[in-house]
Amino acid sequence: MWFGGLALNTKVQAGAAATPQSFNWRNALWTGRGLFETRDLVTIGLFAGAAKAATLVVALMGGGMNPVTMVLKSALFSALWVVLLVKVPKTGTLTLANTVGALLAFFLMGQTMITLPSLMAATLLVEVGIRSLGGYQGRPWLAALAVGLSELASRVIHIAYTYLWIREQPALLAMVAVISLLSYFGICLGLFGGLRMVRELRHAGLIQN
Amino acid sequence: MLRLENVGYRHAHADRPALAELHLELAPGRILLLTGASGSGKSTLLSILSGLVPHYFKGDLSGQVRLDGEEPSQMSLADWGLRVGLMLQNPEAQFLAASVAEEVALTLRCRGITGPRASGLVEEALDRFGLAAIRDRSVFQLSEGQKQKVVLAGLTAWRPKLLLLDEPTANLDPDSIADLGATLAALKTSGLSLVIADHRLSWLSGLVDQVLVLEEGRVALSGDWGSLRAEGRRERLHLRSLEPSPPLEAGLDERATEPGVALDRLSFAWPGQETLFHDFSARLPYGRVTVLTGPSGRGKTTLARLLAGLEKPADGQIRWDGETAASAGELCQVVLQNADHQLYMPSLRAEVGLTLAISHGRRPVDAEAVAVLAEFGLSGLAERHPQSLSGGEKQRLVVAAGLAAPARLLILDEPTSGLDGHSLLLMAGEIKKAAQRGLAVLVITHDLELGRLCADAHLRLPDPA
Amino acid sequence: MPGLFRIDGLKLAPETRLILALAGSVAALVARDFAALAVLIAASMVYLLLQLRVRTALWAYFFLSLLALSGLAGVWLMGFIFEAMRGDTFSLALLPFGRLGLTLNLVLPLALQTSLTGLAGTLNRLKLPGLLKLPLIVTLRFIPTFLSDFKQLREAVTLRFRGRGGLRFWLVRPVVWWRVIFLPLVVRLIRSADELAVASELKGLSAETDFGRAELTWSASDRGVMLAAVLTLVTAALLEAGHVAA
Repeated sequence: MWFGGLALNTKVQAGAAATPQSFNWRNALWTGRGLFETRDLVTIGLFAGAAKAATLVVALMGGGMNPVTMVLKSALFSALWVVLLVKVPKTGTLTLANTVGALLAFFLMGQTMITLPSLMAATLLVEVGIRSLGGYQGRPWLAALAVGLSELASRVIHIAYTYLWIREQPALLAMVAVISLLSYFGICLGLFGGLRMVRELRHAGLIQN
Repeated sequence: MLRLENVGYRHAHADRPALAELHLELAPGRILLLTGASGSGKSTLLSILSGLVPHYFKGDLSGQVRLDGEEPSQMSLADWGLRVGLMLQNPEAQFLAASVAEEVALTLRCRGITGPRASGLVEEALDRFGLAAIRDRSVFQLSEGQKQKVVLAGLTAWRPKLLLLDEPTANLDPDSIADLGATLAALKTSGLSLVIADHRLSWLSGLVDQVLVLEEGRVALSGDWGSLRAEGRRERLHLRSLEPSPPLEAGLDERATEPGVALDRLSFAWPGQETLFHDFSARLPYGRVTVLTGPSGRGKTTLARLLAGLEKPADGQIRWDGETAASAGELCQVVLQNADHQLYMPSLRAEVGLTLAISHGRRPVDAEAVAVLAEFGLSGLAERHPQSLSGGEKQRLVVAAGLAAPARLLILDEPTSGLDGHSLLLMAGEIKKAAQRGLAVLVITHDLELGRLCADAHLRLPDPA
Repeated sequence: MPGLFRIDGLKLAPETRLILALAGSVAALVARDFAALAVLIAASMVYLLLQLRVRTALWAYFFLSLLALSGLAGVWLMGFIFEAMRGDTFSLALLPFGRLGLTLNLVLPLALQTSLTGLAGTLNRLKLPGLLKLPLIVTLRFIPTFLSDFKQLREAVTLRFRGRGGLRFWLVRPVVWWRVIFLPLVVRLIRSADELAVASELKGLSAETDFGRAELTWSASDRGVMLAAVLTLVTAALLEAGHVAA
């Protein structure tokens, strides 16, 4: 016989997955238990990777400083984020996705980590605000609003951070502002594209109401 | 012993049950074939057996599911997973580690099995499936058959009681299917129970002990292999052939002088690899279906890429009616195996309309698009979203959309993978219809049943030397 | 003679590259003194050239120069509009672009020489919360698949539309090309997410899963580079302190 005795040594842990009686925030923030399920974390990871890879491919094809490319990759990014928030409509999804995106950008492209804490704080603040309005569930437009606001915050933080770099020549900030505006225009286009796409994906039965 | 008593399931928000009144018993060391037309409830039953229902999909489950007296609803999905393993249709989706050995080890780590015990189980599993020699190879560099073995090694490493396989032959060539059959026979001998959900049936003759055919969520037939052979039963249940298709004969077409697309002494090699084609010549006559077969990795898809102009031959030419063409794109339509990649619009009408608009340079009249859809039996679905169609319908839509523009050659890459008997017949009909419109049609397939149904000519790429 | 420009890459642990990239970002922000920045840039340039081919580094610098020139041109144009912005443009621009150069020298080896597999090993070693580690491992695992999917999607578009329609057709239909780019990508992503979520749940994967710890190989090169980095930072700090005192 191939299996010399089909002994199942692992004991049954019936009820092991049951919710603990008191919510352990420390454990929740470390493992996500009680906040996110495995499927949520997997989906967030996939979307973060796809957003990074898609924007990278668009940038490589069109050149990083090409205005059309800048608008297109921002639009792709925000539209993907809207779809993600509709698929995982939980407070914290956007913060986690932005953090994973920033860590990836750091590991793979060497982008700075210094702005990460402020970006996380700003996104979390936006998400708490959205939660007070009722949360993302069944309201794609709130998902779009959250993405729009968090991207606005990220640009403000980026401009402030850039100022520290170019403080001896503040006029350069004008260029940074123009680039930020252009990419934010792409973000806004992507929000509309994302909302339309959500409607269509529901029609196609690919995401649930 | 697996026992299902009066099991029923209704998806959340669905009007009709996906499964109803299902009874089943499967003893250890036996194999059950689970089959039926697309949408008959096979996947739902696999979800129930694997514990995804009720842990992941939250519909209404009724009746009792027991494996040696234990029920999935009484334990976590992870614990049920120690008893029941599921191999998905696309094995690559189950990989998270980089190498073969790491993947098997990770499967155990996810179950909390670590340390020397895990190492022993990994080595045992690698040896059992003949993977020891490729233990450090990237999982992405493996053939489909090898990928399945890695998944099976991981799933059986902790010795479950029941193994479920979802469409295991959808992407395999005949040699790999035979290999899989031998692997499963050995697993059966070891005392493992298996449930195999598949549309292709001929490879299972002599392997399965029980057969369960579903039809619209209910049991249409429960018995042994012989019960499938009753007169007219297979056709009525939309099942595929029970007998292995004999190899297609080479040179079915004797009218080699007909006009068509000619591959004239082509040579090609991928950078850094051995030559795939050297002085290769073939003809694809207009109005005929040529079926291209051959072992995996011998260049079937490469040949299609050369014809479509995606690759340039190192030497030789492709002639269209005796002339070389500057752009093959305007002459050739390709239907990819994954039709999802070729569908872009919000309705079938708009999808065909897009091709009409591009080829005629004007906004198409709706009636024109609907007429094209009607020709392919899709007019009743004109307003549906293409992504909501079944696999077979999507393939037919891509053919319809492609042929709405002028073309001389239609290439289809594995058009019947995962299709049931009824969809197979429909696809074969569409392929023949395309040839009747005067196109040269090239069908790349491992599916000899399809080949038998539609081939006018057969082109087989040789086995490696 | 290509050999003249070829330098065998110094093998370093991913952790070394990560630490240096982080330290470089902080140092670039703090530095205000030309001499301090020059020391940092010189040291980082040696670090870069020890790991990358000269040609690769030159290409990176070529793109950095383009960026710098476009920035300076913008400032020069702004000077015509806003008088206050006109000033000692070129000398003062040295500091911002010097900072950019410093960061570039430190992140290029990280970005170009760290393999996805090596990075997954590093993630396993770092004590990251499972909440972050699981999505990151999934992402790293799927990036090659994504890139291959993009290639397939691009080819699918080519096969369906190549040689058809003409430029004008596409120019006047931005919504169509948005759909052609975006819809298959999202559909593929949603199907992959669903499939992988099911596979992960069945596998028993969770944020608490121990992915195993790859051994950290901390070599003499790593120790040498770290020591050199500390010495460089101390020197730059002393120069910076002198600048502040002056």
